[in-house]
This record gives sequence, C-alpha cells and structure tokens, in this order.
Amino acid sequence: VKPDDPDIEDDEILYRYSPSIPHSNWTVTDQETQQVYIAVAALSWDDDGISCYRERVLHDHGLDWPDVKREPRNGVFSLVVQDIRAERLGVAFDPNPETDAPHPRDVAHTLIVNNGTSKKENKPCRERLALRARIIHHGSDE
Amino acid sequence: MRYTQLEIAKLRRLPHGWDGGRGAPVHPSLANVAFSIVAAITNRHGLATPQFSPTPDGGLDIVWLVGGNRLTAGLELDELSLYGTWADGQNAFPRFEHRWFDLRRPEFESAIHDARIFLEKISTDIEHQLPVP
Repeated sequence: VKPDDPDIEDDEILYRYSPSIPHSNWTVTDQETQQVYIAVAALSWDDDGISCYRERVLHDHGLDWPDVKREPRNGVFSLVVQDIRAERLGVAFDPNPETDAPHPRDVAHTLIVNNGTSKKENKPCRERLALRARIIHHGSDE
Repeated sequence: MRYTQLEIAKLRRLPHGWDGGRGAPVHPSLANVAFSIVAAITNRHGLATPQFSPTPDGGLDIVWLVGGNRLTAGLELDELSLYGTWADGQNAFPRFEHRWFDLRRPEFESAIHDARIFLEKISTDIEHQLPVP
C-alpha cells in the first residue's frame, strides 16, 4: 500500500463513485433530521486502498465529476483531503492504474490509503469520514 | 420483519462485482444471522428502521440512525460487532466485537439487551419514517 503523498494539498477535493446497488443500500438516512449520509460500505477497501479521483486533475483534463460515473446507477460523492487525514488515513496519487477498461479519468486516479492500520482498526475512521462526505449525485435505481 | 426479509434477500442476489471491483453478494449464513439479530433487537413497533448495506467480502452492516445517534451491527465472515454511538461520538454501551468461533452466548445476549435499550431511547426522536415496502 502506498504512503500518504504530501504533495496532495489538504484543500483538494476527491470524487468517488457509489457502488452499483440501490441508493438506499449505499446511503443511511437519519430518521430525525432526514439528512442522508453515505454508508461506510461505500468506503470499502480494495487491496491497494479506496479509489477516488482528484477534482484538480480532472479539471486540468477538461473532465468533472460526471466522468467518474461508470454506469447510470452510480452516484457520486466527494471528500476533502484534510478530512481524510484528520482520521489518520492517507491520500496517494495513483494515475493510470492497470485496468481492463482504461478511461480518460484514470489520469486523476488517487487512493485513500490506510497508513498501516488494519481494516478493523480503521472502520471507526471510515464511519466518521462517511459523515463528512458530500453526495453530489444520487445515481439511478433503474 | 417482511421489510427486513426483502432487504436481506435483495442483498443476497447482488451480482458479483457490484462495487466495481470484486464485491460478492451477502453470504447465506450471514443473511440468516442478520435476520435473527434484527428480530432480537426490534421487539416492538415504533422503533427506528434498520438500514442495510453490503460489504464487498460478503458481509453487511445494519444501521439504525436517529438524530446522529447510531446503532450498528456489523456482520463480517469472521466477526460480529454490535455497538451504539451517541451523536457526540461517545459509546452508548460496551462495544461487542467477537469472532464467530469465539462467540459466548451470555455476552452476546447482554449486547443484544444493550442494543435494544439504546434503540428504544433513540427511537423517541423519530420524526421521519423511511419508505418501506
């Protein structure tokens, strides 16, 4: 797993697409406030980290958050780098990873990395981070 | 409980790769346990609604959320966790985390009891009902 990359500034925005599942299964709704949050399940680890895309690099290439979607059911949410680091997780730039389906957005590919913590140890960190995520687009349940 | 059955059945039928990676559908053994846990915690009407999210390795999270107060049951292939968190981040009762092979019935029943009490407390602030089939 890559280390945190200090060249990525704290005020940068990362976009991530939601899983291809019904909206109600990647979000959690507060039954008092009606506020909708992402579920921690939308911040699950792959072997190398949690894939995201840097807004700044997307913009440099004429792309934006809709280009992060892989298919119509995907929603999109954003995270601020300083919120990730505040939870003792890291951010590592990982452009153009090996993939079966290359896409122009790959130039902005970035990983949230665990800074040496286990999946179990960092679950509370991801739960708090999920509360700070901003849902940009809810995707389609069709 | 019909809603719970339908939700769990839906997550059992997820296609492989549902997360854009190697996400698997919820494992059958966990689906059964999930139903039992929800039934044990929600023993009367008027409580908050459980919300279900899959995890890529075949597990699932069940969350009840009212006013920032959150009850979570986390079911993984190797471990069960049950914990309540007040909106200020404080634990509402001792966090229960056990591997399946190491699960002791008295401790588990105590955690279910704590979870039920916590859910009853937070459910008094419900202002919004979730759409359930």
